[in-house]
Amino acid sequence: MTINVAEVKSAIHAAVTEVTDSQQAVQLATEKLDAAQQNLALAVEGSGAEAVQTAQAALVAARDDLDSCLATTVSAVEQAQTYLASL
Amino acid sequence: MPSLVESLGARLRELGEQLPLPELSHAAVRLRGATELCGYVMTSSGHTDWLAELTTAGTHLDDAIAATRSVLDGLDRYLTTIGLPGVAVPETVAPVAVRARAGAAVPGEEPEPELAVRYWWADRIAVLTGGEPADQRPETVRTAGKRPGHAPPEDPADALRRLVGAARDGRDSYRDALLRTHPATGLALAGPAGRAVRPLATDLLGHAPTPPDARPLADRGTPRCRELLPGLPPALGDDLLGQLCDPFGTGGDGARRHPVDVAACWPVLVGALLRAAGRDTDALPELTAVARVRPDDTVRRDGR
Repeated sequence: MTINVAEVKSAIHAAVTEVTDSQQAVQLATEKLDAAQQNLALAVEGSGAEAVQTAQAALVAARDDLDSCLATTVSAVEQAQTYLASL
Repeated sequence: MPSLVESLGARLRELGEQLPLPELSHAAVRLRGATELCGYVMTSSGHTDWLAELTTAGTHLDDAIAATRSVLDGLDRYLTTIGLPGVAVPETVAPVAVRARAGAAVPGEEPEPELAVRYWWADRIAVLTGGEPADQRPETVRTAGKRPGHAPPEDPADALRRLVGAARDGRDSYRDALLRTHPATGLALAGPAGRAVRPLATDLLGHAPTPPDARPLADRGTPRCRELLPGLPPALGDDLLGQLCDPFGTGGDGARRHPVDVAACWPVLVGALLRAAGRDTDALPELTAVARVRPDDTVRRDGR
């Protein structure tokens, strides 16, 4: 099966659009997680409950995962754009 | 006027309901779409780096979704403890079929990028299992829907269970099961597999896995990889388990791995560790769950 340059470019553009849309959703999610972290800290200040600590740790972990996700997609888009420019 | 505890409960429920699960689900769907489209491009360009990066990004996103669900679980347990109603589950974006959208270069001729991805997947599976690229590909397993082209790919956790079961029956069975796996599903196997392997390793070792545990775990998991996947790079199973034991270590070179190799290796490792731990595939739904199943009685459990 062979595909031509126009199809390759079209597919890359479509993939980059998908990734960009995904990045916007991730950024919005990041902002919401930050707000949740602050609100939770205020609401349960002084609580030593294990379930609260689990929730707080999970919020930090989710935030870290999203940072890693975003950094990886940025790198992938850069590579895609470099390849597009070379076609 | 609500009591202080009731006010706290209301604040925590609001916080839980505003967690960004819909946004994360949306991001995951779009990333999966991009991954399929990249697979399409790779059939002609051979640039595996993008796909490896997008797969890695998808794994991070999967972990973030799991962690966010854990937040919800933690809030729910806390509210239960203090005798208040739990958090209503936020609405998430319904899974949608990933449909390739590459433009048609020839008028009247519909491009078939999804098929191209299937060929890329199937050809690599043939290499891994020591066979020749197949002329005919078995029909892909999909989650639901009467029309295969309109049904979403199978859920990765379901696919993992199916593949682990097939791996027990030998190489031919495993090859067929891999060929029936949708590439987008296959590339998402690392998430549920990682969730399953970590508690299994903890069971086997008697403690959470640490860097020195990589070798003993690999001794249990990788011999089966060599039997079922003779074309697999010999160090890949060791690398994946090494990463599990030392997530921040420098072992292995993820960028150089073929994404299909990783996808094919995980179910074999999961199956080998399941067997070593004396468990079977029935344990997988619990092991791969992103969060504990939330009880139905979390709302208004205080009877008010």
